[in-house]
Amino acid sequence: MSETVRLLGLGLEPRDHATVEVLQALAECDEVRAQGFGRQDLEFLKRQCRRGALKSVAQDAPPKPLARALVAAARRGRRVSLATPIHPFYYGPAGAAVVAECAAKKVLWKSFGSISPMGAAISKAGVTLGTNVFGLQSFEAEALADKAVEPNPVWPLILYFVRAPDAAARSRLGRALARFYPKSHPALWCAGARVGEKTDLADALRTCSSARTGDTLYLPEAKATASTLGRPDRHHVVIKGAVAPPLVEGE
Amino acid sequence: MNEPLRTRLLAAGLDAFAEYFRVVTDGGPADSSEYVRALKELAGARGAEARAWRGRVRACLGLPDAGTDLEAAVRASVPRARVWLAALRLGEGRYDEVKDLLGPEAEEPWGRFVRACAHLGAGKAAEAAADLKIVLSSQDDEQSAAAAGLWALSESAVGNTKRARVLLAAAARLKPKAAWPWVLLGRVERAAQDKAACFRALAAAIKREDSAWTRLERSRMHEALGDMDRALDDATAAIAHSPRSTAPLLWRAHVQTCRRHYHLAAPDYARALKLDASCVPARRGRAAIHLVRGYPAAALADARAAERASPGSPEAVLERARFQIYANDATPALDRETAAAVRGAKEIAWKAVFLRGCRLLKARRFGQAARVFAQSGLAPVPVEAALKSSFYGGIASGLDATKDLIPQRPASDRPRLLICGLGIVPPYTASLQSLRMILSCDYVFNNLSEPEIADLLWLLSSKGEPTMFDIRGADSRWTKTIFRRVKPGTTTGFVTRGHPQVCGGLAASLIEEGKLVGADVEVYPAVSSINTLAINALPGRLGSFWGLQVMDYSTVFEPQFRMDRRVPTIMYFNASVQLITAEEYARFCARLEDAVGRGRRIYFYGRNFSVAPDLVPVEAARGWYGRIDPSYTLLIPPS
Repeated sequence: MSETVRLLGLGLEPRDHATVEVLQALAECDEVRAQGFGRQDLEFLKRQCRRGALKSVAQDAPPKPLARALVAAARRGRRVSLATPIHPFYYGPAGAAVVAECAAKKVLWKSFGSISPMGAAISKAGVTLGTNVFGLQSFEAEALADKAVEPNPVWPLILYFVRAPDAAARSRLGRALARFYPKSHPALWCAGARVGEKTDLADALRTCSSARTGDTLYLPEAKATASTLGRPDRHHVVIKGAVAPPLVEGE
Repeated sequence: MNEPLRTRLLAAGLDAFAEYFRVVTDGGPADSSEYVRALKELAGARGAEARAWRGRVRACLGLPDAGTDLEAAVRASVPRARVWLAALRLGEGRYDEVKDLLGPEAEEPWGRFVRACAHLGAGKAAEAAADLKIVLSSQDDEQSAAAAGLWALSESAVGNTKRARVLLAAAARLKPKAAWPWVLLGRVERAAQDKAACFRALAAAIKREDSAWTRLERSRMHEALGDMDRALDDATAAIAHSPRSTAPLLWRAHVQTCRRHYHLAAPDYARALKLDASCVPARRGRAAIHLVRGYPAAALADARAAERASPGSPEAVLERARFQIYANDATPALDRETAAAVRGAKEIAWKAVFLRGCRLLKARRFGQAARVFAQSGLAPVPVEAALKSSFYGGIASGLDATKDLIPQRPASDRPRLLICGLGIVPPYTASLQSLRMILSCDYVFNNLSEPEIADLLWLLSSKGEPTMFDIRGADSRWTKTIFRRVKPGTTTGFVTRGHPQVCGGLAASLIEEGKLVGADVEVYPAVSSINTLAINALPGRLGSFWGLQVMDYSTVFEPQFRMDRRVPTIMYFNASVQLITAEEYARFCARLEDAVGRGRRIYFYGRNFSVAPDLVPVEAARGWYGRIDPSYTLLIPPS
């Protein structure tokens, strides 16, 4: 495990979404730089780590010095990791900075999958990809406005927050969404303090001023799809990776 | 003992060097019908020589107490008895005893051969070579061929494949009708990873001797290559050749287990036990199957029987203890019992500590369990110990830190169904939330076939059964089976792979059925292929992903279809891709190229996400019409 930097995603709610392999990695590392976690989550992470291994890093810490420090430690033979909410490749620039620094210094990096806003949203909304929805799009809330995203109206839209948007950001977000969704468009909080709460877009935009990292909003599709071409027969959906079992009636 | 009987026994090959090769290739007992007949005839024969032959036949049949007869024959100075007893000890791996047993026979060809075998078994190739050279230069074809065969095995073991082939060719020339040189050649070619040459050699062996031995050998090769159907065919043929032998039955049960056809493995184990009630491998194999199939009490009964049949075996005690824990039949006294069993067996001492951790985990004493698992993984331990201790230690530690979140019995009486995905690489991608939900269930349906997952679920729950959801789609039969258990006042769990709502037909059926019958159905998010694939789009780029798109391929046909190229996109196919026309497929390709950008490269994943994808230009999709499997996936990296 030396000369490898681990990139660990703790999902939207670390105490729920931490996976076994992430817990194992936390326990094995000599140094865990945990970026962007609140006090309660840091307490949880600390219990999974070796004594003294956990170091908290500010959400807005410059990514390149962080990456250089991690890779340098790996090169000294220490087992190191960067842990963030959601996943380091989605939370901020540090994950990509680590990958770039690893490439430059010929150090390996390893990452595991983590539970995403999209995954949490479809669970709460009760939709199944490939059965009753055929596309999903998920965007960081501020980025949707700043990057001029044009959501696909026949797909549900998932918005996730990395930080609480200020008034200007909320305004930009509201304008960007208004082009595609009416104010009364239904919305469902899928993760965070308001998990399970059904509301509408207008209310969600008002209350997202207190959004925390990982808070996730689900907006159902704005338009029904007209196409049926390529839609599967309901009884022909594939499970990838599963071993084909025998077709026997009980045992 | 009469001459005709002696002649028949010699003709049956009981005195042949080849017997050794059958044993060393795990050919199981010889064609037992011939030997069983011989044993019956020998039952009435008197004298020390008859006793020696009886011991020899019993050894060939793998029956117990062969040593008793042979030891008596040795004491009576029956010719060959020493060599046969030495051969028995060879088969038992007691190499040090072999040299002492041989006495003056060590200078005879058979004795030199057996001594060489013992040297090789103990890793002393140079000492073996000295004896083999003498036997190889013998005037007797049988002896020379056997020495060549043994030497070939030795050369193959150190990677001298060419030399091994030459020696076996010589053996085959000396014994043109014998199968064993070809069986050994198959082994050599398999070690050299020449599959075609291996199968050619095994076909030649079967042509010379179509027996349980040769069929088992080829079945093993098929199994190693993952061709379970052919492995099964050969295993079945082996059983037909040797119906009173347990070895082919055990092997076929193993193949059925590899195919996850546990209900077909069980009868083979039962049949083996009917032949030999003390067959420990059958008991162990069946115990594992009972557990997977949801019968922990039956599994424990078999484990106890295996323990009775293996007195003094620490492994048998540990196995039995493991099943006691799964069956909820363990107390702290079990810890003392397992610790005592491994005293003096340092290499497996960690297992007793590990089982203590499992018992504590089952008892929901998570903090203690975590500390004990940390102990069982402390170096120096085998890699297996470190991995298992780390895995279960992570679970115990995570559950201890979040035990306040384990659901209590709900106030409402409404029936509950909890659908938990263990992620795309179960059980490693299982989330703490899913594990806690499983803890809260009264009954768990397990839709995962791996035995290690059954082991984990039996530590977290007490009642359940496997489902075998048809890979081809939502199956109303399983929906009905599951909802028969979903009753007021109970919580039922359904555990599956990946995220239940990503291409999850059965999960969708369960959610709908829950609405119809008034059950509360909750689905918990899990790590899916969406999450793991998207990571692969990153290497080399700066910044972070600020979004993700996931779509079924059919959405490309929608008039409003559009795709943001700046974030990763994952595209799944479904069964309908095999039914669309060429014109429709061409339209799909054109729209995809427009959306992705001509000339851009995309990742193409086949049936298995663990296999590295191909990176191809998007235009390559045009050539796939009629060849796309519904399980294929595309990852379009951001531009």
